[in-house]
Amino acid sequence: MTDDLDLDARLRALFADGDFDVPAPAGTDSRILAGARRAQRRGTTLRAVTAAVAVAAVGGGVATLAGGLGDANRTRPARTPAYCPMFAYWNGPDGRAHLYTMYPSPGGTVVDRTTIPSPGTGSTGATSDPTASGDPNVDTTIIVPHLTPSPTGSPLPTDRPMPTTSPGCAWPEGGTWFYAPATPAPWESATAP
Amino acid sequence: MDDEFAAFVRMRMPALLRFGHALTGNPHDALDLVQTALERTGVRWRSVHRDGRDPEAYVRRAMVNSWVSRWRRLRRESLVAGVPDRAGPEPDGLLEREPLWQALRELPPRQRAVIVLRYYEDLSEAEIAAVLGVSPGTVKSQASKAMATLRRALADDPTITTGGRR
Repeated sequence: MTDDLDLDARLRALFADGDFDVPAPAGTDSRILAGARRAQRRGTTLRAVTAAVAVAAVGGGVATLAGGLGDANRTRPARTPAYCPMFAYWNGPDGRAHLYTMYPSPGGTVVDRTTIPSPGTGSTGATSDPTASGDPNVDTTIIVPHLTPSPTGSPLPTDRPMPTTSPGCAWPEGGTWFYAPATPAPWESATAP
Repeated sequence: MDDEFAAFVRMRMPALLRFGHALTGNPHDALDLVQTALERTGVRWRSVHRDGRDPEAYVRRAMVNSWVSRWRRLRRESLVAGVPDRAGPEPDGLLEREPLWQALRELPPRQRAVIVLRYYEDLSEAEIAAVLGVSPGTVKSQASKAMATLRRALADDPTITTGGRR
């Protein structure tokens, strides 16, 4: 009973005294309003992906642009990510497009494209289950546990160029991978790197 | 978009982000969660007002439910086990070093939500049940499990068992 009272008091103290402030990146409120406007225009339905996307060169292949993902079978919920989730489209060796979604987590590491397994290979310890995402339109979703948001670019590996379009976010800019920035909606205005 | 909604976003976002931080355990998920909930609220802003609901309570409820359902979805997904890039700096701040906070982050989202709603939002069991859309009995059992887990976690911390922390 004493333990319960102690834990109760400690929880109260934690939530009363803890610093839960979150420094929102500049323009967050505007992005929210813009996102709400877009969602309002679209209603509550999902929308088709219309972005042209960059695709990867695999095994020394040639990077190309693919604009064919805007078909009715590939949709994403209408929302603008708040903080740098990354969406990578990759045209795999099987000729299909694969969407990867990577979410940031605090205090970690920038993901490298080599950590993203080819579908079905499970390289670098990740599994690539076509049904894992729960979304029949997404082949798999990989959650990268340590993706570093960094206003300065550090600790982004210095041997990679730092994109300038996304203040507050750090992500690798590979020549063959395309990482869509959060602003504007990545699947809305994606362009080739 | 309604000017009133825009004013609401600008005025209440810091508080909602703090709640999101408490709920999710990190500021980055808080940002994403708040944005998602506010966008959904913006779409329904007029009906929220028309129905006489408290918009902030509506947003917080949306955040809680979105967080719990997001976890249900994500737990089916794969984690990358090894990331070859070098690690970033460890999170700093008193909160991050607080064993109780670390233990809270290990709780399943629904249990954590119950604790946050109880201790951060100061809601009653009945109110928490309403927010989560579950019975008060479920709230009670989730709280009990969460407290048991926290007690076990803190028992491993010598500064806790000796009463060395607050």
